[in-house]
Amino acid sequence: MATNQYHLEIENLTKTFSRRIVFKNINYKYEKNGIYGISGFNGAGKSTLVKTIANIITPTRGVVAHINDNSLIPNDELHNYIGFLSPYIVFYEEFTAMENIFHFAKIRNVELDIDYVRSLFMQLGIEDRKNDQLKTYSSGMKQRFKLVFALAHHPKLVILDEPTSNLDEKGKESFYQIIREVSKNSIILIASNESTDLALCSSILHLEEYKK
Amino acid sequence: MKNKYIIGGGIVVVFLSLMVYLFTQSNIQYENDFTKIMQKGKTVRATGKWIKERNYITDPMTKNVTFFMRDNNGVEMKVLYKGTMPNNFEIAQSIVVTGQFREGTFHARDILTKCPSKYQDQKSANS
Amino acid sequence: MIRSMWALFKKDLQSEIRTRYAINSLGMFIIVTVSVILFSLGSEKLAQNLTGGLFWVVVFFTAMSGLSRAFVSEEERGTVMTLHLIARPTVILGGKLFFNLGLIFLMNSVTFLLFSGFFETFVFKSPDIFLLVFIFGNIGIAVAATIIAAIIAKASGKATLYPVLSFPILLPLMLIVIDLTKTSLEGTTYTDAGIELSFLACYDIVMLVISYLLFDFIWKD
Repeated sequence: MATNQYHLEIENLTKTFSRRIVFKNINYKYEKNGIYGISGFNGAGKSTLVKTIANIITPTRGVVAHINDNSLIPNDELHNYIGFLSPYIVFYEEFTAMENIFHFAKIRNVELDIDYVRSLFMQLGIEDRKNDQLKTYSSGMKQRFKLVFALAHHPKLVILDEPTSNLDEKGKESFYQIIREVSKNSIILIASNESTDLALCSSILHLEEYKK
Repeated sequence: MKNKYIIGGGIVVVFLSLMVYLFTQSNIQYENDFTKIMQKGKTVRATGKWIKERNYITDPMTKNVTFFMRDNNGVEMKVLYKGTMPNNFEIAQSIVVTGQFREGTFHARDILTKCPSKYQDQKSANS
Repeated sequence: MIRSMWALFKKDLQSEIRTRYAINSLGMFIIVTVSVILFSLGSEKLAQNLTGGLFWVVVFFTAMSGLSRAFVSEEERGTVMTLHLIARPTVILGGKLFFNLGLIFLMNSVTFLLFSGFFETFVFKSPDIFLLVFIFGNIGIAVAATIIAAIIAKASGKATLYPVLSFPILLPLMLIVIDLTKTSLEGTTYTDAGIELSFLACYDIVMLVISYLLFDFIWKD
């Protein structure tokens, strides 16, 4: 595969909600493709940190630099470089899984890699339900579909916030397999406290260290 | 990114000031020279006096009222008005009609009357 | 970017066809208001200068009851973050604006047809000028309604705030539009209506540019 052109640099990142410090002065570089972890106790700010990295929340201070081809990616173009999975994401329940994916690709204005999406559905075991409306999905199936949403557009940076909640053993296994495969071509950040999730990671950022 | 706000702000300022300018223009102007009204055909408020001698005629079918007005220079103009006449029309010192002049007649959509005020009378009586 | 906006519009359209939320509530609203006017009239004829005003009253409140859905529905369902992740703010604004434009032109054409059908006095001597007023007025209402909907959705969807916030912003537009409708019922010329028509066009442009500039700040927390 080609050399990794995309990388991520976090400089002096600080986020406070009024007086409460969520995290302070995080400096971290993600330069090579691979799986990296973010851990912290409940309420430590894992979700806030990954949302800040994904440009959904503006940081109080500091910079998240997404660099591609040695130049900074402008905020307005960032969304197609990032794949995001989070418990907070909700899809359009009146559409089927495939319709959701189609609409998202059109809105992103990217060519949909239909074979890849189909193989993801297959590996996650929801292939036979891909033309059912999402309101008929169980929470575990929705979790699997979220992974399809996060990966469908071949993002350079994949952020997985608590990826394996609501999943059974089989589901976890297929998640890990897909994540390992994807990590060859992109940077993957996993925010989680599950020991099996963090076992995949080559390095782990502990949020407790950035509280003061 | 900064350019967006400069250009956008510029457009807003230009069009806002254009709006303010247009707003000052849109108020219908008073005009007491009937010759000008007849030439331009714009919507104006024509001020003048009702010519009592030529009375006013109400068409019983269409309820259109026709009467004649005279300005300070003595120019006369035929006025057509749809609707009921104001009560104090006959005793009015001067009247203001809002409308437009076309095809030899001033089509009024509104009539205002200026009545001799009690206080003015007292004043003139005192002096 | 226009392509993405169009895709978002198509997504909203398909969702609307499935749920029929806005169409149903707007359609009911129009039918109810027009029939209330009809009942209160009885066998009397509606004075011509009133029809214009009543028409825009119906239009204003239809817009208020339906156009806020664009953003409030996303906020209610919790899909705002999903939108954040797939498109830049301008695309979201554009897509939602397309949808509201479509909705308002559809609804107001229906209202117009009902008015022309039921009220004999709702006949225009200058239909060409009214057409312009109709187009500019609808665009202005759609743009203002869209950006206000975005603000309202952030205020945790307080729908009652919507008419309250919209009224002062739409007031200049409504005044001009009602006046122009009245004069085009009676018959007017482009020279007479020119100033007010260009005022409307300016209003639309200013609202559009302000929405574009402000939306980034409204959309991001």
